[in-house]
Amino acid sequence: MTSIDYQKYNKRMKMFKVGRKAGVQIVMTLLAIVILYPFVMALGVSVKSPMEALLSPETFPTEFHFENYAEAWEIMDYPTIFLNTTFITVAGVLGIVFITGLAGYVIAWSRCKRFYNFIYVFFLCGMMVPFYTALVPLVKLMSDLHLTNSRLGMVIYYWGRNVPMAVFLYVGFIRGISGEIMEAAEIDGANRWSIYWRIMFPLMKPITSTILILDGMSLWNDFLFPRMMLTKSALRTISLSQYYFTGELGTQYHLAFSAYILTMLPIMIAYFCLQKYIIKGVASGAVKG
Amino acid sequence: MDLSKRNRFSFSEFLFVVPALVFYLVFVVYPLLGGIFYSLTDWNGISPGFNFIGLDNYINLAHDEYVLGPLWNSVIFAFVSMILLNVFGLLFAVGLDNVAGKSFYRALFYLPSVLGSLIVGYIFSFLFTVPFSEFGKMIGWEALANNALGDPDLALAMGCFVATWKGVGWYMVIYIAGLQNVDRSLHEAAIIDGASAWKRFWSVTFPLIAPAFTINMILSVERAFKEYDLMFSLTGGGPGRASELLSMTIYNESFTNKRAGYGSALGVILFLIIVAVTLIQLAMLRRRENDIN
Repeated sequence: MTSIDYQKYNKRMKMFKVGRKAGVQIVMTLLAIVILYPFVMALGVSVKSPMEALLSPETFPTEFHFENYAEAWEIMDYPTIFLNTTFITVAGVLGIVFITGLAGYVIAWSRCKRFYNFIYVFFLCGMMVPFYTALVPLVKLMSDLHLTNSRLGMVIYYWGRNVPMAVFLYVGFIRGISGEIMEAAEIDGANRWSIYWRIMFPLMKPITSTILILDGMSLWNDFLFPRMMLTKSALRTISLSQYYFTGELGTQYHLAFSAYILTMLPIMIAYFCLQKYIIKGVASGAVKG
Repeated sequence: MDLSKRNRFSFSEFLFVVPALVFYLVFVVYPLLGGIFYSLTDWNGISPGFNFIGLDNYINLAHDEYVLGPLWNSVIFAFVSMILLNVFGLLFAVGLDNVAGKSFYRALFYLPSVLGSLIVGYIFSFLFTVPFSEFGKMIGWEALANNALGDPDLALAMGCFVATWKGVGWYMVIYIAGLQNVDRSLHEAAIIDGASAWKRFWSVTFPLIAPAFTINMILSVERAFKEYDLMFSLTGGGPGRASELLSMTIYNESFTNKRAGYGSALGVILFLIIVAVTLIQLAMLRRRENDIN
């Protein structure tokens, strides 16, 4: 190739690259609009007057009725559903981290390898069990244990249900921690309990936060089992109130969408604050999973 | 130090595992065994007594139209959403590599994944009722104009579309994590060697994201078979039972129709499907990964 040819080629290549880049940018922007559209629509409907929401819900609102939010807030008893969901989620994930961290530590570190490997595989099998297979006996169990219509009952159930995934993540992570620190601590004569809390647990922080995030989101959004277990209106969670609100007032779009926005808000705020950690947590959780 | 002693089983050490083991046994293992047990009975879920009927439930469901329809729906839903989620997840991930404002787009695409499936279904069922049908009228697509969720031929397909809207960000994030392993110098070397873009993707990028691909394929199928909330709030399984998934049938049989034994047998079938799909995919994809390397 002569140098002139080469320059021509280079120029063409550059233009091609610029064009392709613009093309990708346009496609991505269009996709972003597809993702955003339902949110924009929901916001629009939520501030319409009852009449406008019914007759032309899809247009840009002509007036802004923020009092819809106050009404939806009142109907849902928002503080109650928010606190119920928060309690169940927080108590749930803390318990999961507490029990599976301890188990993961011993499974990964015990010298009694064969026995704990068996326990480990036994835990892992639980990951494949679909909720629906165990539905009938689970409902019977919960009522036999008097755990129905109880927030604490839901929490205790989650402590069991989320064990397999958390044990899996903890064991994978702990096996990667260097043994020297541990051995030094053991020679020091510290007992396992204090080694765990003083040395191990702080080292496990990255995977603990992954588990908190993954389980936190799944508990916050859980619907079917709470719907069966929590039938009293004072115990409703956010998902449940979305369900009941739609059942009762779903056709009153202005109220329904105010309720939808209000109930989506907490997790969206959490997402915007913790975005980096959530995305990182999901990626590391899955790649190890 | 007496090393031999330390290899032995220590009870105080075992106590660390006990809490997790107890909750796991009570809330996962016991109900699973119970589900298998009830699947061999004709229990209605309420009365104290029931009869053992052996494998009758399994024999009956093999030619029960009421069950085979939703089972087929679940298979289609799993297959289509697996393809859509992975194709778009990968496209989003690759596309984001060449875009200004990368982190903004990434955060936006992931946003639907943090929402509950239930609320996503409710919002989309409204979108199909009004704005999408207006759009259908505008472009002259009759099925969309008459609310596609009410069309027995389209309801399930629209469910796949909504599932993709909700889930694609999650799969994108996993692919992005995989793409970070791809060394740019390898790409440059391939360009110098004159490899086409497709060839570069297939022989340089793909082998390196193969683990992410394996995970995404398995999880997308598994989740689709376990899906309930999204279809429940989007179509309620309708029109008729055109978009009813197996998970919904299990629930309805077990509680609404008071056939707890039969519902449990369906649950066991779902469990077997998930185990089989996971093992088959794992074996196939592992082999493919080995072939490439």
